[in-house]
Amino acid sequence: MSDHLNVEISKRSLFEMAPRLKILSEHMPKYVSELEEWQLKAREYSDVFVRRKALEIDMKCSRDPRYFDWDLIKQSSRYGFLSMIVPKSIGGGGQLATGLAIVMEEMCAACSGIANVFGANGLGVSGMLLGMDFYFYDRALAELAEGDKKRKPIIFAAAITEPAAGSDVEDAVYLRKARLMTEAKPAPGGFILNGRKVFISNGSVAKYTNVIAPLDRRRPNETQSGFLVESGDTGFSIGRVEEKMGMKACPAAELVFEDCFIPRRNLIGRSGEGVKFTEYVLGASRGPVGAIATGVARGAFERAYDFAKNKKIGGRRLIDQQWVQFKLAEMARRIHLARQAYLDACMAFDFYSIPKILKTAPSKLLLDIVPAQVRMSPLFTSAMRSDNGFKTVAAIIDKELNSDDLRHIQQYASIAKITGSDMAVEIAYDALQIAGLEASLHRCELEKVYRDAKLTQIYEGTNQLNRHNLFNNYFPGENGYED
Amino acid sequence: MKTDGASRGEVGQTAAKFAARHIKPVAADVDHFEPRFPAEIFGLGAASGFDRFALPEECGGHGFGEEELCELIETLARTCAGHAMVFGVHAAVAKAVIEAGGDSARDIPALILDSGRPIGVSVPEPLGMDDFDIGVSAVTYGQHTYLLSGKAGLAVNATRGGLLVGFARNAGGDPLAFVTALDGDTCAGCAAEPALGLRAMPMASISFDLHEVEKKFVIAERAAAVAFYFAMLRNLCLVSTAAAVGTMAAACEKATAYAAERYQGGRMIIDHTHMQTIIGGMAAGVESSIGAMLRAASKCEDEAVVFSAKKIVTDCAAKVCSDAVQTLGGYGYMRDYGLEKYMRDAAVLSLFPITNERCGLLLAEIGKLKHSR
Repeated sequence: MSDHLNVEISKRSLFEMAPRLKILSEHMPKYVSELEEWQLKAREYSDVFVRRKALEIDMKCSRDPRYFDWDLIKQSSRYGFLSMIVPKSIGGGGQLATGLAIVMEEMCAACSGIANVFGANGLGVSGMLLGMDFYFYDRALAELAEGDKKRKPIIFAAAITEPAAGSDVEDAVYLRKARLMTEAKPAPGGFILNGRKVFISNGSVAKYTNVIAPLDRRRPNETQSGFLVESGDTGFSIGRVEEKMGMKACPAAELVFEDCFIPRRNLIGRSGEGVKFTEYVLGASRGPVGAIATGVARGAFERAYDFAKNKKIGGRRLIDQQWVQFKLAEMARRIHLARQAYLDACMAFDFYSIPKILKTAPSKLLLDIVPAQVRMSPLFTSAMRSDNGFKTVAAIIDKELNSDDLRHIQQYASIAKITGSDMAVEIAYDALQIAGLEASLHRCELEKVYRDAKLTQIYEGTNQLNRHNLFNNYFPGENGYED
Repeated sequence: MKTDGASRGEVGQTAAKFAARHIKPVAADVDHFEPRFPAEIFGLGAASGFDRFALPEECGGHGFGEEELCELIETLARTCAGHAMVFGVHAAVAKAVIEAGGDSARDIPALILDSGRPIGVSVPEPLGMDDFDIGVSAVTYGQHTYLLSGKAGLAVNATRGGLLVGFARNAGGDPLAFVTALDGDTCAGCAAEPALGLRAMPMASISFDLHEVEKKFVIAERAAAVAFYFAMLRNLCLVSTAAAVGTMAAACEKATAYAAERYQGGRMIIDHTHMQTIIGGMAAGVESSIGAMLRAASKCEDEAVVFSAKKIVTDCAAKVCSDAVQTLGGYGYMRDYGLEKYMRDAAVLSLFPITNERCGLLLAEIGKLKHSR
């Protein structure tokens, strides 16, 4: 089946896939044309590099979960996917959630395991980008962009989940009662981090990891903070790398912190702002996870279509049978709707959340006019990272961002995540039903898609947690927690 | 035929002890991506009589009925559906072969019972209730032999040197069912392929090139071959149903136990009412599937009942096992906790011996035949 996979579906235009972008192109042609360019890049990378290696990598990772295909990631540097959401003035692609989501859908139709390396990298980058701590823009984020340019890629990760607290760490209400085991205690010159994080995508291959931890486990909501930890830091090690059911190309690792010293400069933003910025990050990332799921579903759809065109039963092609046609039509319908849901989430985020701040005059002045050397000077840095500097940023955020918009973004993000992931699992299952027992063979690819699909219902907050989040933000007047 | 509640209980106890002693220690290893047929487990099962469990006593079997067969397969599947299906497929096919009877098949029972290996089978796609899709042609060669050529398709339980039950079409276009040993250069593709689930049960794409089959190993021809095909299909659907029940029951039990001891969101997972609806749905799915399975076992000659049970129960198993993984969250997705294996196994059960969509098409055909009479 894989030898002659017809990826004609993957050649359809962005305007056919999302008519809103055709409409928007009349008002914001540059914005839309850039999205089209990123989609084409993702298609080329997927067709030329990813599709042909996906099964081989999946098998290698089954034998050794620590296997990571650096060659394939290096091939991506020419496209700049790892740094695509880094601002252009820092050397990146200048894209936001929408661009990342469109790229994710394309890559995931080929292999969501590989795509997840870029998705999880985006999550790690988002923590630094949305923390509005410009110190990291010119350092870690600039290094990321430079890595792509020099074809020596570096990878980011975000570490949120703990062994005894998965969903709890991603929700402000649940966080109060979470059984946390990671803590960053203040120490002279910085913090001492102890504890463990689990299931961290890219955890074993990331150079920089954005670790979320409280300064005081008994008061997580008040003291939750973000820290930049670098691979090789004393006291930081990689524990087990998990044997996952799917998305194997992207390793999920346990991170172990034993008296790991974090210098104060590696605190992202101000201490105690972790909950707020985790919400910003999840508001940004759940839309692209919806896109990942949409891409997984599309991968199942493409393969089922290809199978139906080529398989004959009793002398008749499967595609000529009405029940198969209706199944494929239903898949197309659901994929289209899931795509609209993730575009709602991502575009709302890009236009009405933190990225809106990046388009304001002060941000443009800072990022586009002030030279990097000046921004990186000790004087400028200490001013920007002083209490007053952070207060100024916070005041701009308060002024520019509308609380209702932020609440709506949370709704759309969870809707996109739930819609896409539930659909992905169901469509992958339906694709198996079209192709039959042969589809359960590894070489036929569909079984991998089914394994991959399930993860989208679990990570970035389980779908249960996302329903909780959706309720809270849809009905803010209700008590979104059961007493 | 032994069929009562007491014997079912005994079968269940025997199977549970066997699974705990022999299957559980190796199930995770056998489930590795490289398929490895557990020949030693089949040998131990044969020593316990599982290989002739449902065969008539006059043929050297133990004479257990369909309800006991379901109990055996369900119980084994609670530990590993792949291992359970090795025995289930063998039992289903052997029973159909022996019940097909006929003078020309008098040598076959001994061949099966003495082989010491499970019988493999390649199940063609049904084309309505009176025909099926056959990719192998049979040409008469001399007085006593057929020469087979073509693709038999994907076979389960197929091992090099083992037996395979397959189907071919003769020069006149009539179907015939045969049993043959998978050896020599004239049959290819006997190596098991990596698959989504049921990895203990090897799957291989078999093809023949002038493969000789003596006519005494032809099970049935023409209308009798069609009848044999549907008898075998019913038996296979029944054991898939039983394996699905065992798989989802184990998944449901593990997930419920986890939910009762895992703290999340300020309380145990099982104390969240939303999770209670999911766990309750899983439990209801298991219980109602047991009912459907037992009804199918008691009406095993009725295609409508058996296909309905297979369709509903294996779909239900896929849903229950997916929900079980969801209950454990990240842990459910990792190999160490075993839940993801249930999900993979359940998905393959929904495809074997035929897909649930195909079951639906057959059920409509049965309904049409009934009402157009």
